[in-house]
Formats: sequence, C-alpha cells, structure tokens
Amino acid sequence: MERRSNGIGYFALVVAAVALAVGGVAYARRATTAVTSNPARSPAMLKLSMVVATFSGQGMAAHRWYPTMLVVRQGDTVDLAVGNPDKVSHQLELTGYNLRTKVLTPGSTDRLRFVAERSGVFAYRCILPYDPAAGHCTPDHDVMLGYLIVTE
Amino acid sequence: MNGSKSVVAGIALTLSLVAIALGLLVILAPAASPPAPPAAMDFSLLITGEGSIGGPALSHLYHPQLLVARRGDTIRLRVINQSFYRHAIEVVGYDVRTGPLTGGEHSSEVLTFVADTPGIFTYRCYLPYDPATATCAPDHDRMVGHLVVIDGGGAR
Repeated sequence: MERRSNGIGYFALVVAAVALAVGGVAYARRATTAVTSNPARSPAMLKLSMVVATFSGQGMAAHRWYPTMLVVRQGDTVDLAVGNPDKVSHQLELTGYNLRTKVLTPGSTDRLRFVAERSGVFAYRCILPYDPAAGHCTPDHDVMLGYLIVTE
Repeated sequence: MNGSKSVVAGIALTLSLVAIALGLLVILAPAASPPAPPAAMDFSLLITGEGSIGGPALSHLYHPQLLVARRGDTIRLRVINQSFYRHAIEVVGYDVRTGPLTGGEHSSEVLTFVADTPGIFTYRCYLPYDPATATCAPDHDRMVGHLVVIDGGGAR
C-alpha cells in the first residue's frame, strides 16, 4: 500500500515535469514567434498627395478630401502634399498627431511630413469654419472628414 | 516513508504550479501589448454623376470608392445621393442597405454597423437600371466600391 501510493507520487512528479517541459517549450516558442512575427521590415517612406475635391450635381456642391482614406504602417514616414484647387480657403488638421497645414488659400499647397509612430485611427478634417464673408470653407464643412489608419 | 512521500508530492505540486503559470503567461501574453482601441468612423459616401473626378457626365461613381476599417471599428456610413437618378446601396456580406435615395439635397441615409468580419466587401447599387422610373443609370454594373476590413494589428 505504502509503496503503491509512493509510486503514484512519482508518477505525479513525472507528469508535472512533463507539463513543465511542455509549458517551457511553449513559452520559449511564444517569445521567439512574438519577435519574428513582427519582422524587421524596413519602414517605408511614403510620398502622398491630397487635394480638396469638389463634386457637383442636383444643385449641390460637395467638398471632400481626396483621398478619404490613408493606410500606413507604424514607423513609416509620410510626406503628404496637400493642395487646394477650390475657390475658397481650407485648412487640414490631422488630429491625434497634432499636425496642421497653413491656411490653404485657393490654388496653394502645403506639406506635412511626419513619422507614423502611434498606431490607431486618426481623423483629418478642415478646421476653417464656414465663413462666406472671409471665403473660408463651405456649408458642408463638417463632412470634409477623412481617416488615417496606422496599422501595427 | 510518509515524509519522503509528501516531499515528492510537494515537488510535483510546485512543478505543476510553475507549468500552469507558464501556460497562463503564453495564453495571456498578447494582452501585454494592448492593441489600439476600436474607433468610430464617420464616412460620407457620395453618389455623384459628375464632378472634377467624375469623368464623363453620364458615368456614376462613389466617393470614396475604397473604405478601410479595422476589425471591431464602428462605421457610421452616411450615403448621400447627389446624382439625378434613384439609387440604393447595400454592403454585400454585412447585410446593411439603404432605402431608395432620390437625388437631391436631402436624400441621405446613415448606415451604422460594426466591422466585425475581416475581408473585402463590395458596396453597390441594388436598384436595376430602369429609365422609365429614373432608377439608376446604364452604368449600374460598374457602380461598385469596396470596404476592406483588416484583421490583426489593429482593434480586436
């Protein structure tokens, strides 16, 4: 009886040792795959351009940032040229990155250069409120909205 | 004899606990680097018949023609019909659709949904071309855009 239960004890010990070995291997694998699954890809330098695009129809003029979506990877450098071919002034702000162009008067351009260090979704919008007297933006100011996605 | 038995049991117990701890570490490891949280995105999807990027006056297009979201993001999609024809939009695979939108200033509708399935999804007009009722246009089949829901690295 005594011997038998001792045998069970050693059996439990062996099982525990095996469990430890398996756990250790899994943990070691996890640690290495975590490093290699985020490969040492070289950050890209992206030269992009954006304009204020106007769309008309049904007596309604729509203003949008073109393009409306930008997708980059964390660590990439973005060189964004922003142009305004519209008849009124606009100003682009990239929220979250605290970047804004100068006031873009009709026909002018500006450039934003930044490293996409933070991942997530960041809105860009016009920050010149609609003011017809000053020639600032348009009635559809609130929908001049686009998104930068920075993937991890 | 009893003493050595409890020593063996103690070692076994200790090793088991270490193994369990390692297992939990592996399971919970992804939580160590928290992904960027899900976001709510307000898109305005314009159906337009002409414009600076519209090409020939009788072609129809969506602006934008490409939408990107991460899995878990909430999309509020305002569809605005600026063309002279009746259109209605559906996002195939997400089972969301607007009612018929007649052209003009107030013909918009908001579709709200969570991008919970990764993949590439088509959005298109689901009203067939019917000149008698000014429904859609001859280029109906080319009125398509894509929603790309990316997986991994982003919101989960």
